[in-house]
Amino acid sequence: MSLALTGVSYTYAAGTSFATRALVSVDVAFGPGEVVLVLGATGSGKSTLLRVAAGLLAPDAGSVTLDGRLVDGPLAVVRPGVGFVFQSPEMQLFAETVEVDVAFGPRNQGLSEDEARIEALRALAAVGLDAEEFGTRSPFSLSGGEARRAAIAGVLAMTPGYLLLDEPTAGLDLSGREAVQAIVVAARTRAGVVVVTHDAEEFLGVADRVILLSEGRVIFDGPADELVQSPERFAEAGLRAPEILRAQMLARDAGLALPRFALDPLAAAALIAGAREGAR
Amino acid sequence: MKAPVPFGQFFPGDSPVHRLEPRAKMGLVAAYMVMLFTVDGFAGLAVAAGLAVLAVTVSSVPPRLVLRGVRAVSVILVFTLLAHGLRWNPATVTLVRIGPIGLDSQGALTGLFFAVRIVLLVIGTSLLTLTTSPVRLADALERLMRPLELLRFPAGEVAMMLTVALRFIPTTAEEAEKIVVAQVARGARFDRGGPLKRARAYVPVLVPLFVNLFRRADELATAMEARCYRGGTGRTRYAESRMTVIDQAALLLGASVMISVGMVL
Ligand SMILES: Nc1ncnc2c1ncn2[C@@H]1O[C@H](COP(=O)(O)OP(=O)(O)O)[C@@H](O)[C@H]1O
Ligand SMILES: [Mg+2]
Repeated sequence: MSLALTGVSYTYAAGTSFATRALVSVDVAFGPGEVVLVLGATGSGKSTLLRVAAGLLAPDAGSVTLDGRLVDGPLAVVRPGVGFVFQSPEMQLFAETVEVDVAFGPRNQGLSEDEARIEALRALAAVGLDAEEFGTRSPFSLSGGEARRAAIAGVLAMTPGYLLLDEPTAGLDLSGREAVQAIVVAARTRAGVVVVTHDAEEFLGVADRVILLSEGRVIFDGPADELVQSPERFAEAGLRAPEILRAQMLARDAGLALPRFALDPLAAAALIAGAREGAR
Repeated sequence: MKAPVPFGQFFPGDSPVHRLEPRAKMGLVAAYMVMLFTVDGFAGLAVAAGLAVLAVTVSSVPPRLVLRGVRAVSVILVFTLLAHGLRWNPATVTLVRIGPIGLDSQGALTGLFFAVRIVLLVIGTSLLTLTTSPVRLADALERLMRPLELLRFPAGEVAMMLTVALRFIPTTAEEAEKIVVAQVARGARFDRGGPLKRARAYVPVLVPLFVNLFRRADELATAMEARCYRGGTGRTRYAESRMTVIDQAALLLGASVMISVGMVL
């Protein structure tokens, strides 16, 4: 059971002078029940990776399998069972009320009005929007963070087995970002979740696994904690390590014998304090 | 997935046709039209066609693109041919005859004349938009309309509207494409059912597209006002394009040659 890319390469505008190699023999697999964070600088191929995984782009080389079945595109349709939250998904809101909008996907899947309503209410609850308060409102009256959550609910309502999110927190304020993080954590119980972002800070704490992309190649694929223990890898991907890790790297450079790095500020403080005790 | 974008008229390049000042180019196209409407026979059309071929060749725009405009008016062309060529119970020489309807050779020639004229007209104007960037085109329009400001015609505003509209076409097309993909990902289908059902399927695309457009228009207007835009009058241009001696000479020579040809042939 997995959404797997094997030896996938993708080139935009192949054969022209504008050809851009966006993915180069990428092997990755996403399993159910895990949150995978795909990190990379702008232009490293993150969005392309998601699009190929979803079936919106057909790879030039290699293959994509969904739970063992080979899927070859380009399908004009995102694969059944795969939910895709595009960049700025609030652009997709159109209906008179939030509830009707969220029910759009389930209705297209052929559910009856009542069934679709149940899915819509469940999805609204999953993104932390109170159906009483928001269900009857126009999607165009929502704040940025609320609209983003409503749009994500519209994808969750289709009960995908894999949920792909492209830069889901871009342009949101702190409370909006925290809400989206909570959605990602909660979605793990029902789906395999893949989050793409260029901000290392954001989802590292909630990710089970991290994939680092650099110029279309996978340069790291492992448990989140493995990456936390070797923060210099961030620079290899053209990214800045999270501040908290940079602080601990500086402390180690300054001679403090830190046994390990921690992402949690309290744990990090304890590690530094412990190392200073040990140094005396 | 590619959204069908009927725009993208401009074919960037560095040919003499591209470099010609837009106002001079417009003047030449206008003279070309005058010539097309004043020639009386096929000799004149032949000269006009020769000029069109010459201009397209020099512009290095692929003829395929130029002819795309002709394809768009093909219905009109067929209609023109038939309207002039078909006769009810024709008395003159008839080429083909089906029952009372006949194709009259004289009429067919007249029809052909008008059809060729339309083709050349389309080629001439297509070449103008293909070789001039939309912004420069709007700019040139404004400057040509400027004298009308004396008659209180809002030339500056009209030109600003044109420029802004042109500026938003690519973004809007791109956005439409994104919304289509997002809705398809939610199971929307645009290729099912009868015409009414298909039209209704586009509601989830058109609503957000227009809402975003109006929102953006509102923001743009506020931002423009915040930067002291108070309508066209009194604004200066950032980069005024200038007519060089070459542009002036090309306009004068070209226009007088074409108009003379139109009068003589
Ligand atoms: N539609 C496209 N046409 C041509 N090149 C593209 C297109 N989309 C992306 N690219 C190029 O492919 C590379 C990877 O892009 P993308 O996957 O969007 O990166 P990311 O999401 O990591 O910023 C970039 O160099 C980008 O310029
Ligand atoms: Mg991207």
